Amino acid sequence: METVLRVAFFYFFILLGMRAIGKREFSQLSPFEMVTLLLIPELAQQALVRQDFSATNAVVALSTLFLLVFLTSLAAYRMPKVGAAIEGEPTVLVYNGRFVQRSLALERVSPDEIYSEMRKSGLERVEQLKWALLEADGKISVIPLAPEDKQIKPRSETVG
Amino acid sequence: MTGTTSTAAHRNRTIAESQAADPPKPPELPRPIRFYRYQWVGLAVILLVVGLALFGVFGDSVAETRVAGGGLELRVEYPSRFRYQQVSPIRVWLTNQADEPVDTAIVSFSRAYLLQFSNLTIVPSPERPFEVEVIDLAPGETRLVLAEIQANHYGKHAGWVAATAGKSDTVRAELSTTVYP
Repeated sequence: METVLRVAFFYFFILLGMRAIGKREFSQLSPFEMVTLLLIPELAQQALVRQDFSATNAVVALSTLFLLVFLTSLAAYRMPKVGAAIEGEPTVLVYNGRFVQRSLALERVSPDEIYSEMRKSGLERVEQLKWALLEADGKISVIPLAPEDKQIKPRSETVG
Repeated sequence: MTGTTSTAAHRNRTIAESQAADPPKPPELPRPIRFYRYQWVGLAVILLVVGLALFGVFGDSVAETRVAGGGLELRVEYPSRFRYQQVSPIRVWLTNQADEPVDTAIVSFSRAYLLQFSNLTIVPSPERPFEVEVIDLAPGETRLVLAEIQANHYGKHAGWVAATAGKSDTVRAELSTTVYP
């Protein structure tokens, strides 16, 4: 019983921690972020299994984890608000060719990273973008302006 | 570039969060819950394991047995269930129920039972393998013999703890321990 409760506690604790550190940590990992993510299981492992290295304990712990993951995905699927709280929502980084500065600061995304994603899509200037979005999985999506959108001219032609 | 023009250029390249429109939302469709057949099976197994664990089925369990005869009473507390590599004590309380003192009583453990475990320690130290002498047991007095075992083999192990004093009958408590892998 204790193993079930321990796994449940640490599952929600780590889930909360992962949501708190932000989306960027799930995409390309910097050395610092990699160390952080590697340390989390190392620190949690001792508290989860204690000195009990039996297969029985591992089966109980894994079953608890699988059940929690399954229930979480079920709740996220059935209740969009729960899904948004657990998985997060996309953040608008660029709209109509202009950076959303507060979002860049909150998500710790630099214009360089957006330009890097733009170049991968064959775009060279921020004015060519309708949206740049930081997705819930930490990846940046870029959506170019459609021909009809280009009639809405951005106020600046300056290369960002 | 002067400070004023730099600030103006910066302002032209950025907008406030409130001015940015969100991308189109996906349509709201009904969200029925459907599972593949193998998912039902997997879910049932997982629920069973977690449910049984919550009810303590896979946890450690201690059993107690009490037998008396020939003026001696034997109370044994032992692990009825525990997990591989875990350490657990077997506590044996020997009581002299007779009116006369007992010079020497012998508490013995089933050899076949104890050999299923490792890192065996017995307190007080055994005089002979698996046999502990309890000396000068006054009427009504109780002494504790402690054996500590570590689970080394999976499965169910049966054995006994016995006590005898002089020519009196032997009292024997049966033990059964299941070791989970």
